[in-house]
Amino acid sequence: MHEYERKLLSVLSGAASGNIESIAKATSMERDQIMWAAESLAALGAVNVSKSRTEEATLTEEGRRYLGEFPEERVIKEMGGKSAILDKLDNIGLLWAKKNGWIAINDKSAHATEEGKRAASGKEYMPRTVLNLLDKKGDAAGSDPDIIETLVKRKLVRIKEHTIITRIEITAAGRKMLANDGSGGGGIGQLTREIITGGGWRNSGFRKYDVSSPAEARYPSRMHPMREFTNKMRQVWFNMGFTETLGPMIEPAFWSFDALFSPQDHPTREMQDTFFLSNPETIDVEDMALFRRVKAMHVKGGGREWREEVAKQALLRVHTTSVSARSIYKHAKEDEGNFPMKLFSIGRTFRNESIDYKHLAEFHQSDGIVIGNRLGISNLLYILKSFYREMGLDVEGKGKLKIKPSYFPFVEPGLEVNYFDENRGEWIELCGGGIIRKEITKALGTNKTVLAWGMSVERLMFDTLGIETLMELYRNEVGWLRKRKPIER
Amino acid sequence: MATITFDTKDLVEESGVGDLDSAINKIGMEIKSEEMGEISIDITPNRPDLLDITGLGRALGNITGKRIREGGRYVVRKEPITEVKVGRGVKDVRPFISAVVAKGIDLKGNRLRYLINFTNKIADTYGRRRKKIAVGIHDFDKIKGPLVYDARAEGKIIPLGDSEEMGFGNVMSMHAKGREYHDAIAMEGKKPNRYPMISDAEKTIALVPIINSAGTAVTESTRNILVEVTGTSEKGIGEIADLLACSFMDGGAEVYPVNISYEGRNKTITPGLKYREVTIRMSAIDKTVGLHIDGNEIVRYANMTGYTASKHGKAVTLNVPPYRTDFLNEQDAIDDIVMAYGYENINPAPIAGHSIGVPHREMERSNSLAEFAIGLGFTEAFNQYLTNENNEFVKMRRKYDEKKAIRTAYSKTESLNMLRSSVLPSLLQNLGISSHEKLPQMLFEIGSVFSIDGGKVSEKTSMALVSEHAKADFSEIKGYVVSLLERLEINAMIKEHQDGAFIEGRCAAVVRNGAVIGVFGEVHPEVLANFKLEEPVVAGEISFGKAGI
Repeated sequence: MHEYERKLLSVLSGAASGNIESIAKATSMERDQIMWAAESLAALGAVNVSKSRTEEATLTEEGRRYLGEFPEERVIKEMGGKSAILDKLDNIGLLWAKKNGWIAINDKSAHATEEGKRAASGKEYMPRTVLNLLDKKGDAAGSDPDIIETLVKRKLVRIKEHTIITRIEITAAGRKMLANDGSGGGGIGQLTREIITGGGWRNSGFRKYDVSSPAEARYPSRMHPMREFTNKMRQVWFNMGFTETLGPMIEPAFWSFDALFSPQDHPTREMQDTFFLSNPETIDVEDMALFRRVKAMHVKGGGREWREEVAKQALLRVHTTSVSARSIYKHAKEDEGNFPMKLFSIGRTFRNESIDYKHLAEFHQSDGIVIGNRLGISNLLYILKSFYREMGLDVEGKGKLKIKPSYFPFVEPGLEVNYFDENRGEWIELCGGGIIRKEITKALGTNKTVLAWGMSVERLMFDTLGIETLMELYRNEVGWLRKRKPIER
Repeated sequence: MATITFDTKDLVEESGVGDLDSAINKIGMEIKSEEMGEISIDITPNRPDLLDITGLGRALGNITGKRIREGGRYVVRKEPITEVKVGRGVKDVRPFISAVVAKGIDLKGNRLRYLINFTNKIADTYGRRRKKIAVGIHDFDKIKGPLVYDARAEGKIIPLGDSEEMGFGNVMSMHAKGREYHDAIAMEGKKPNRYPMISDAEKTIALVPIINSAGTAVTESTRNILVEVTGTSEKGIGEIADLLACSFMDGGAEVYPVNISYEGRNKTITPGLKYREVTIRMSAIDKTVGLHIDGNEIVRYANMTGYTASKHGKAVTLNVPPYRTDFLNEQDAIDDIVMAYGYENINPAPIAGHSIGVPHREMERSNSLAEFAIGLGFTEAFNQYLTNENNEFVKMRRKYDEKKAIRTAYSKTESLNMLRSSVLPSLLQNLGISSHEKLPQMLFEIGSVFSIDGGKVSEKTSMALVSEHAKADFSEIKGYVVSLLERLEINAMIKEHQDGAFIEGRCAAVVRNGAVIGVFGEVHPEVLANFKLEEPVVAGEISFGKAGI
């Protein structure tokens, strides 16, 4: 008899029957061990097992946000039982308000129906009542199945079916088995050192286990998907002959903005939603000649006002392009480098966002540059296309990649690469790039041409991992880390 | 990025373009949404001229060739139609003003709404929420010129949309616009010392840059308007006056200049409508693109992006229209020519020459340590670097030294106001949200930690390990740490140590050359409770400099 089976029968022989919790307490066995032993013994007729099937309901992130109010309720309340212009209203809310027959839509306005007016005046909304009930009880039984089905369809609730053992009861056969245990009645259970070295197994056979009884899956310790994915990206860059660079995350504004020709007083600077620091407040730029050249670039080249204090403001970098700027500067001093020089960088960047289930203030970016003499947009397109092909995107198919002009203060011409994502049925932005403005390369000390690009990193992993938000990626819930999908298939 | 919305049919009519999606993409902008007869478009911040239906229609008509508008036709009437006298009072608050008068303008249908949206977007983005630049639109026929632009300690205005007169101070504290744009003329929470305002011979027509007077309100049937642009940047107000003048002319109106006389300075006339000329060698274009483009083609592409162009020998000369406030030099013209040529027509070409890609030492070390930890049964976490005093110090029973912490000046999220100086709190938090998972739970993280050290910013790499299960004890974590030090080939001593996060007497420091580089031990039960942990946890963290940066 297996050790677990023996333990289970022993405790039952005293108490006759028990539920999993009481047995776990009495035997200090794990739940899954008890369940395994119970199933195995049940197959031998040693115990009777009563089971019940339950549906466990858990709320999704979105569902939790709906506990207070559904978007359709908000819409109807905002309308206050009257009419409203459509584009002022939330789309999801509109859709469901219409489905509920709360509103009629004509022209560009929504009009509340009689039903809608009742809803606006605070009539109980069953889907929300059920959602709140599920949140408290975690049990879907007893609620209107139609409403539950709708909640599941709206991805507010996930339902998992469980079969649980409610009670285990020892039978006469079980008592007999326990009594005979050790005298070899059922054959060998757990193999032991004594049985192996003593050769006892030669005389008594092995008891058969029920191979269909459940066992809990075991999961390995793993790296975080972020490491797995960046390593994949790195490998592609190495294969394409690019060398890896890294740079600081805390920078003076100089490297994040000024050296990249971003005006000190311009929407682009605010567009980035930067985290400026109060400690330290400023960081000096050591090379004063460089500092003066960058100043001249703004004042003479751009006809702008430019103040040194603003360039020294300490901040958390908003993109890894600051690493590229540092690299151009560093290698400008070398007359005889190995040109064209190909460099890339992957690192963490910061944006001062209001965080919610979807947005975080931190994520990763990857930047790359090629410094050389005869370089053009056609070379840039080759690099970007090759990279994404090696990353496994289908970039060759017709209509899969869209390259369109775009604007970044530090490149001219500037472009953006979009990819048609079949699964989502929409275009997603892969990266932006271009040729670094001559004002910049000159100020950083080189006459060479620099191709440059920057891309977001996490977005590319979402589909592979089956997640939709950064929050899921950085929550580090141990169960998810253990069981998540692999990056490589 | 600013988003602007039009009725789709209006934009189609204005531009002459049916396939808006591809034309908008072609000029580098993006449709944000298109539904129920309306189209919303994201406009990049370098092109304020495209926030206007006329400007956007012009660009779309040009790029598709559906309705070419030459760049060289923006001329105003000769004689200034009125005058703005600028008093000394505005000198320290909002010194500059420009103005444009348009006669015979069409504001019917959606036109008035579009013009107001256009000027509001300019003031919000380019004008930094009206601080740098703001635009006011008035019914020219209701103005008894000349105008005066000055600043006063107090005054009265009938705000647009109201019928009662209000004092300036009350507008600032009670009117919605006064509250919204308060910061444009005064420090947050303070009363302005003086109010910039514009008046004509009879009345105040604007409290700048807050609100206009009801007396000069513009309606759909208004035919003659005066637009004033005020701000702190002389270059900026001039550019916006140019941009508006071009738009009015393209819309069919006649534009008249306005005399601006600054007290104690020469007169200026706005709009300036200066044309710039740039000459580009054709080879420079070929080099940028990476393939050869014929000279006549270049002229055609320049026309498609609004320039008048001529070819001579191996160069082309372009005339830059006044609405191109973003234009600096030939690179911007090349960008437009490539845009018109179309990125889809450029064949990718490999770069000649061979190079070998080399990994960075820091990343190599990080990967090697990750492999080590995973081999020991630890699973990797990646946490955010931004945190707060409570998570980082209070919950950890550690002392907060605000001189050492890297702190943000302003965060939109209250709970993120400093960078972490230790990895451990993150890992304890991760265990805290995973209490339903099977034990043992073992996590590690290799990441950056930040502090101010000897007056300088320090970014270090730190590796932390946590192990949670019923039998976790000091010797377990010591075993890992010893093995880790061996792996890192670090010669260090292990000494008894005090750290609030650990149980006293069950905590040790890793000391190298007299400096504490790491700490480990059994986590204090109060810390466990703070992170909602109910089982014993042992933990350790070692920091080392970044390799090769």
